[in-house]
Amino acid sequence: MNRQSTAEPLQDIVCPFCGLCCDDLSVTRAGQELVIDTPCPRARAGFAAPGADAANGTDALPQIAGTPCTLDDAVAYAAQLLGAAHQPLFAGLGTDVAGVRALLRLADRCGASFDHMNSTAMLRNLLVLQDSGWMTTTLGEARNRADVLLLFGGGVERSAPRFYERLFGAGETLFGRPRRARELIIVGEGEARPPVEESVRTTRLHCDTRRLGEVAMALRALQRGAHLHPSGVAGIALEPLRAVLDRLRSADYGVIAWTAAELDFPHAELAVQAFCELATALNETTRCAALMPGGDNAEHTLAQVATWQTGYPTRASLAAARPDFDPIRHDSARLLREAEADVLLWVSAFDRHRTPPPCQVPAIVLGRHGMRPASPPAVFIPVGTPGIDHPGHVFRCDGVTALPLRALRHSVLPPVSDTLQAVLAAL
Amino acid sequence: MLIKLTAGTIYDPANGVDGEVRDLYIRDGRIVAPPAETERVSVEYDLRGKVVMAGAIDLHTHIGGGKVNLARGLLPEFCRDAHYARGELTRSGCGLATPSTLVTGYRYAQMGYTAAFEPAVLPVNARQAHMEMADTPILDTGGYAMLGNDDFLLRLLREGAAQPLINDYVAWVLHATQCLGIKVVNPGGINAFKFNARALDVDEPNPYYEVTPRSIVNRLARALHELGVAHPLHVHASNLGVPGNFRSTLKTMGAADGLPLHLTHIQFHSYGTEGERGFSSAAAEIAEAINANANISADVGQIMFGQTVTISGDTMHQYNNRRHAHPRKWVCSDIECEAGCGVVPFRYRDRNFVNAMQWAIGLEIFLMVDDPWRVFLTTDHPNGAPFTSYPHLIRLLMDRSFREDMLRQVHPQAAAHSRLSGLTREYSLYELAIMTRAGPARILGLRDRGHLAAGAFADIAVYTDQPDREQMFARPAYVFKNGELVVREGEICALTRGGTHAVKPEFDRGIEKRLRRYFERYHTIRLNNYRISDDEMAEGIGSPIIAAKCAPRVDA
Ligand code: SF4
Ligand SMILES: [Zn+2]
Repeated sequence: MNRQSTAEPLQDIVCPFCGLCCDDLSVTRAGQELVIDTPCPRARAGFAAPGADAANGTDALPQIAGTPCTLDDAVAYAAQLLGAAHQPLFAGLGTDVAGVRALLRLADRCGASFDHMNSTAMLRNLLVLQDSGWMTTTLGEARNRADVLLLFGGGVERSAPRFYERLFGAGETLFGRPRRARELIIVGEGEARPPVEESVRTTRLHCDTRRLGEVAMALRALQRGAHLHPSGVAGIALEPLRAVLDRLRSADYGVIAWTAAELDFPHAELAVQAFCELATALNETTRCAALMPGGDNAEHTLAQVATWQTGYPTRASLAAARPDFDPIRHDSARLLREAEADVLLWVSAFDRHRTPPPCQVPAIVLGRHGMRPASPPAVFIPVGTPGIDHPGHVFRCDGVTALPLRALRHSVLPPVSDTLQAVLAAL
Repeated sequence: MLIKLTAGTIYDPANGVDGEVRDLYIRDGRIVAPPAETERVSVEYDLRGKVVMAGAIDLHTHIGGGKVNLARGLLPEFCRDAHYARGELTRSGCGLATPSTLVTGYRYAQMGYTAAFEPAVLPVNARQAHMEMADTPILDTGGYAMLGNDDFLLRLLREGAAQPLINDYVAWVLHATQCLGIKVVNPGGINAFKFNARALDVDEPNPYYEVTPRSIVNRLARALHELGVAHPLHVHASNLGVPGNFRSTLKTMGAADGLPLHLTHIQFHSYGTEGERGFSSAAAEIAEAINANANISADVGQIMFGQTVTISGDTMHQYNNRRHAHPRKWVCSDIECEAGCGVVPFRYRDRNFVNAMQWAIGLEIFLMVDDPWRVFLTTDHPNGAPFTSYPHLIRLLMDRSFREDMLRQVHPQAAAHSRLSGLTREYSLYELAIMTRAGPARILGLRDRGHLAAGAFADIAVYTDQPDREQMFARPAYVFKNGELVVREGEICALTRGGTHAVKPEFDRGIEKRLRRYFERYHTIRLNNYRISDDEMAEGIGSPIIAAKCAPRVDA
């Protein structure tokens, strides 16, 4: 890799910046600079952040209390802080599989609790899995089979920018032309017209995001044979609701989708539960399944690896020498607010703007190169980004696949995994 | 370094050794011939009075991959109820029926197991399955890739593709997923469920592809045979759990046309419809068919009473089983035009007629199949019971009076309807060593595992001989993995990392062109990101490949 732009762009590159994990990018390199071929704004921002090689690596030095130092010194001080702590808190946790493996090994060793920066959104879905289970589908299955897609929420692109393109974009489906045109029904706020093919018929039903759960419950009630008032629910009249249900019932394969991040209101898990119940109930006569796109900062990667290693996806503690899950007690915001944690380890390797929350306790920050924490933390170690500066793996939002990430440029920035292994060795 | 195991009583059926007192020597991780008198022994273990076997091998246990992790995600209460504290060497973990990966490795090793195989690797999920198994310490692992419900194969079959093309595809999948074998689950049925079919019998065509389960089984079995893959097609037959399904199981056996076929968790496929409850044992018919057909092998999938969780690729039947979920929650998922998975927690009750019959049917099969080389000890972990119940199961097989005591505790009608009380057979240590070591190694094509001759890897379990076989097999005196002592008196004393057994048949790479096109048109992942390289296995995933030998069979 030299400073000229490489003639041949790299193909089939995986984007780790949202849960869709698109793996069809082509990347052209000019030294540390990377140019990608997708208009996706989130991917463009993610790939554009600066790198650090031997030539320009001086601003990539770790710092202790704002003063540049060697990596060894930073690691040694981090180990000292963790070693002296009674209740360490590991938060942020935006990293790849190797990073999570190293985090959990360290957490077990020092009895830490762990909480992803997106746990609040993650738990809207995960609490429903824990409470009732669900019937789901995956991106590829939905792309090829879904003849009706019911979307709860008008803002799916905020969490999964290429969602419409990847589901309805150009290209055939496995089963050729469906019996009818494919149909997209969007219930929620906003008027944006999704960029989907002409062949997809789009229906919009306007409703307040906070009332999406009620709409799903009404559809479920109709499905059960209940009678509803003609005025309908949440501002949607009975007739269009009936039409939605009929369409799902006559579908060969319906898909009901939402992004947890958009459901930003109290007890949103009840809305998710209603979406899931509707999807499941429709299987009495036809096929229907739920799809949960979105997610960022590799939240699914933490959830998967932590679940297989500790039994729990996030907001768990290893303090009592065994895993303990509690979405309220082990909430990092609460632990910091109530001063129950005495040291914070913050990891954000994908997003340099996700800085650690302000806190009274010493913070060890492993941040993407270029991160500017509000005030100098006790220890700051700029780290590489998986899939750009070093290889790695991230999990896709539908939980079926972990995608391989490649190093796209030379980098002096250490991966989270190596850094934390060094901390563990120094403990 | 030379290690000497002195005067143990050796059970090594692969080499015809049945309880002989001998010394064993280990050097550089392998068993070696007795060295010259002059050579210095570095460490010696006195094994007088101890039973020595190769490390046990579990050829069918759900220990890795998306569906196992979904079960963990669905059942946090199983974690609350069963957790394991961090130790000097060991990490903390939890899980009643699907323990966290680290605990899985420890608990297997603590029973003398040194290898375990995940039988249902969804190709697109192979990376995750291998990652979880890489995080399962001590054990060597491996997987069988699931085919037979994937739209690519069903399209090939519908087109009437010639066998060599099928072979190339199967070989490509084995390479891409780094697996040791191929499994088919409810052939064509998982796919049919996506087209809203709720049942599919062996000779019934898939509603879209018009391909029958029989032909899927036949073509896949043939492919593996012609490619020279040691492990026969691993079949979860049609109609799992359905009363009367022994008929479709017999038909599935016939679909092989005499080619090798392994029927998995056959207990769940050995049900008749006799009696006033319309549910009966067809173990005798099934055992008779296995005894009469040397090409057929089976693992049992024994059930044990208590709480567990069932996890299966068979969405069609798991969806149907949702009514029995205990606790009342479950998951079903259609996955990536390849297959699916269903997770249904379940409590088997000894006072429930059907459950008691299932328990008896499994034991009947163990006791009525004559050849221990063709029947394997499994609970289809965690579907019949967690793998931690193996010592109890071993006692049921080796101790008739214990078995009779247990039989008296189950539903009296079930006990009365079962032939179990008339079955006097007790497994010997030699037969047990076949069923749990030599047999699995042979049927998986692992030439230097599962036995104790010079040249074999020193995977060795040493048990203290006790009349209570459950006690004996629950707590080995010593376990060696690749010559390293990892368990002493039932406790982990060192941690090692295992590797991944995989098979790499030769094939015509021309198929990749067609696959690449297919991936770009229909899939949501590119072929380059789908297949897993040996380097990735060793580094990012963390479990280096141990390649099994494989040569095409020309007689085919
Ligand atoms: S949609 Fe998500 S994964 Fe795809 S390119 Fe955009 S940010 Fe990356
Ligand atoms: Zn199984």
